[in-house]
Amino acid sequence: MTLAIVVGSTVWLILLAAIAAWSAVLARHRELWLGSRLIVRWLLSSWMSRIVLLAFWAIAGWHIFCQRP
Amino acid sequence: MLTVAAIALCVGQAGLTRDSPGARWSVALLVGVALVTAIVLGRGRQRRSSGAWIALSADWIQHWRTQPRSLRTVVIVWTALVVAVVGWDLVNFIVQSHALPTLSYFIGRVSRYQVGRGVLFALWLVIGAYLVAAGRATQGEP
Repeated sequence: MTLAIVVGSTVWLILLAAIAAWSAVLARHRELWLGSRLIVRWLLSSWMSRIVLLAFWAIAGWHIFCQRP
Repeated sequence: MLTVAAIALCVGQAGLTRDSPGARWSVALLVGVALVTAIVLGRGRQRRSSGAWIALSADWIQHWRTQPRSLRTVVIVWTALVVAVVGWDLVNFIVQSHALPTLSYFIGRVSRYQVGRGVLFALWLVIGAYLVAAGRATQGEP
């Protein structure tokens, strides 16, 4: 399998590195980790926000397993 | 029992293709089950009303400077990361060039293999279960 590194892939790699770096920061700083959990709990605290998240989850599932190879 | 069923689902899904009716029916069925379970589990156990959630969110944004520094940092960084990923994906989708692959393209490189499809499906199931069940108020809690 070959995957040519094109301009767009480079940007994706930078974004992936940024997410990895932020995850490393979260693992080292408890208050930031707890803050992240607080955001998730906040997003799940009302029907509207929970249903919106579930809708995104459903669309993602349909796209990945029924539309992508 | 649930774990065994979930593993069996993942193994079964791994052997399917995107075009197969089985893949479409199973995903549609699971979405339906997730929605019904969320409603059943959430009856009277959602922490706040949607109206209160919107009002409190608006209040937080309006007074963001007075919030704890760690929380501000977390919100800003997560927002920046999500906006960057969604924005870049959207740009690549609109331009439709081989030089600008979308996130779907990379996921497709994984899901085309049985193992990749099975692992992605397991991840999707775990996320769905969390969205359905997590963050419910326990008895006696508002």
